[in-house]
Amino acid sequence: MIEPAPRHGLREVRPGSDSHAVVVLHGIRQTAQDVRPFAEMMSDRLHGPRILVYGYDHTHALVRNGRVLHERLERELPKGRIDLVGYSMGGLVARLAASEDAASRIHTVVTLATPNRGSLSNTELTALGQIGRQAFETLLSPLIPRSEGVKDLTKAREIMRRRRKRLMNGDRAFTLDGDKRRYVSIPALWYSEDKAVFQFGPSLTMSGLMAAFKLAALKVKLEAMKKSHDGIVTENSNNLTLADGNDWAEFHLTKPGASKAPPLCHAVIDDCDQHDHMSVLREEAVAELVCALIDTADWRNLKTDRPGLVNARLHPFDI
Amino acid sequence: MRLQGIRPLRGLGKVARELGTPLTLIGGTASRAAMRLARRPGGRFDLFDLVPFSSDIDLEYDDGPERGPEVLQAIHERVPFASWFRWSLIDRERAAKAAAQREMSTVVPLRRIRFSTHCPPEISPEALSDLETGRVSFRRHPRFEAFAHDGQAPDAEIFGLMMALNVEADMRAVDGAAPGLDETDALEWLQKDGWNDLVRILGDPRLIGRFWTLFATRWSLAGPEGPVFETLTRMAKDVGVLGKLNFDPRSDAPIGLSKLSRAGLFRAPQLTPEVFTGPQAASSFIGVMNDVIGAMGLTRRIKAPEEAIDPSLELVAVAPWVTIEKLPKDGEVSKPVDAFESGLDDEFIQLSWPHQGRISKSGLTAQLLPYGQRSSSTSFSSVPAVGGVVGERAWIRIRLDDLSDGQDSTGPTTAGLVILQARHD
Repeated sequence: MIEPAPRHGLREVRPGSDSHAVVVLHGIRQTAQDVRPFAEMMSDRLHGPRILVYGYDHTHALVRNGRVLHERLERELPKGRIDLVGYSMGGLVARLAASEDAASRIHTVVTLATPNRGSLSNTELTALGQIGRQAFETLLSPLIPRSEGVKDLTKAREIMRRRRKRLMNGDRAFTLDGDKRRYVSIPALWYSEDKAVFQFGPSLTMSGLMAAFKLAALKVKLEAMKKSHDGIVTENSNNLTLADGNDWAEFHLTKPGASKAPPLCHAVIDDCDQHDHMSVLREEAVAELVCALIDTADWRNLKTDRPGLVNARLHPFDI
Repeated sequence: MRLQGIRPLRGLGKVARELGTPLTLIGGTASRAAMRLARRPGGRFDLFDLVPFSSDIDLEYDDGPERGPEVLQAIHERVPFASWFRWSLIDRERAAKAAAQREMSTVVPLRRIRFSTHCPPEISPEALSDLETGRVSFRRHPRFEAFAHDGQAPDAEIFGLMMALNVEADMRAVDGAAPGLDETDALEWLQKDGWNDLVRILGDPRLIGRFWTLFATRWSLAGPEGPVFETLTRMAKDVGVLGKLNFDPRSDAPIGLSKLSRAGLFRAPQLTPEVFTGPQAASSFIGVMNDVIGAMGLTRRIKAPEEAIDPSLELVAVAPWVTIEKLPKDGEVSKPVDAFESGLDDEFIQLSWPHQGRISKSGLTAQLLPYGQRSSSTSFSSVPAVGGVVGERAWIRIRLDDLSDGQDSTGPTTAGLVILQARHD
């Protein structure tokens, strides 16, 4: 066995205020290095907070990763507001860290291309296992289907239902103050059945190695998926604000606080449609949107405060 | 219990309902599910536990062959991790043929258990007794020889005994203390008729291929030990079957297994590929990666495995040269050899090897790295891979469906196979 040289934990991207930190989390089959460029784009736009990236072991159970993140934040960022930006699986880790303790200082949870509402189908898992990754140019990271992390992606809804129950601890009237805890989701589409010709997104480029793999089978599987999706999850799966008549998850416990600002939001910009699950991390407009969401106390004012985002669609209060 | 009552297969209930056809699980997976439920009641298991190494999932559906692709697509949508398994779908007509074939074959009651989405399971009194006692009974068919020479696909009765040995391996994986086969009866069979069967096998490449499939599976899932299997191995060596397969029966031999063509050729022809573990794996990995990176046109070279492996994973083993033959052209694709064989294209290669150090039962995966592919980009694509551990051996299964046969090349694909696992820390 090769000796490990891991590398998980918090890494500073840009120093900043002691009273406010923003931590960016990567997705499955990734490392903190993969989200560093995105965090750097945020650094250019978000003045004041300290910006960090966080690496975790994506083969571990989601709950374990959430707990470890919570503990590290308490220990290493002992005061002030903390905001989490979780990409893909990182969004679920962020949600679990935020709900580890009702009194957590985690204020805003931004989930980007995260399967927030449900479970991955087999087709989605297969796609997840087959998309190319370009982080370190030559980093091998095949999917481990029996790992706890992957298995948890197929039962995220159940995990979040249990987390809600744990937070409530038998108190049916329990709520979280929306002025202290709020959640926003951002989708990242890749493949749409509206497209006349099947196209792989910008990240699924055909390398020489990829040429040894025929992607027709993957294409068939993706086309067989019933809804527009990003190769991994449907947009509906991302969306935290869809009403399904059943408050089932931990984020549903967040209710508007004294400011009456909405604590849940699904934010979409046109640029989301031009990217796939991987390349969305390279989109400056998405970084701009994330920073605006963090910076804006009441998301209803986001478009007036940020003219560049006038075309953004903010569900549920903007339609 | 209905089929959908087996937790990892509960999605099949929905598939049956949506398509309006009953589904029935038969064969090895049904047998292993019954063993788990009977011998470890309340124990947790997943689909990967039920379908180890080269096993497939034999599923009958009550409709014509034209619905096969629709059934498979529904399975892929409803059963988590379905892509990591070979689904052998058996339509109504083939199910009838298979039933007739079974009537003339060796009876291994545990292998005849059936779980259906629409009716209670079929478990014979003999199978029930075997489940209760941990025995693996078998009964030879008195007219097997007449049937085998009756213009059907080539066959040898010894394959029935080898199937029983594989069922015993499954039983021992569930309950290590289970008594398994009646060794006296099995040895008597071998001594009386085994020689003739092995000589017959030696003369037919298709039978040799089938022998290897059963032999390699038993070796990989239970090791080479056991009086019956050791006797079989010795006899196969003496007759020349193992020599014909270029297999030296060392206990530490790696084992390779892939799809057998009608001509008796394996898609991955190396039956004992070189596999490096421990420190040798590291140096082999560096060599493989630098060859591949070089072919991509990159100047970068790695000096240590961790430079090129996700930090959540660690290197377990490397098979530096795996050859995968080209797929037959459309006109050469054969029809299924027998009624049990899937008509669909699911295809995998499997490898088992004696492992070293700490290895994860559920954390194994692999990456194929084809050599000599020039590139304008630098990402690696994965194909579904999964592994497991049984005793002193580990195994890995890699799906080949998405591996191109290289339209512009005339030869086989050669690749390095890198086996990784989730870190223990």
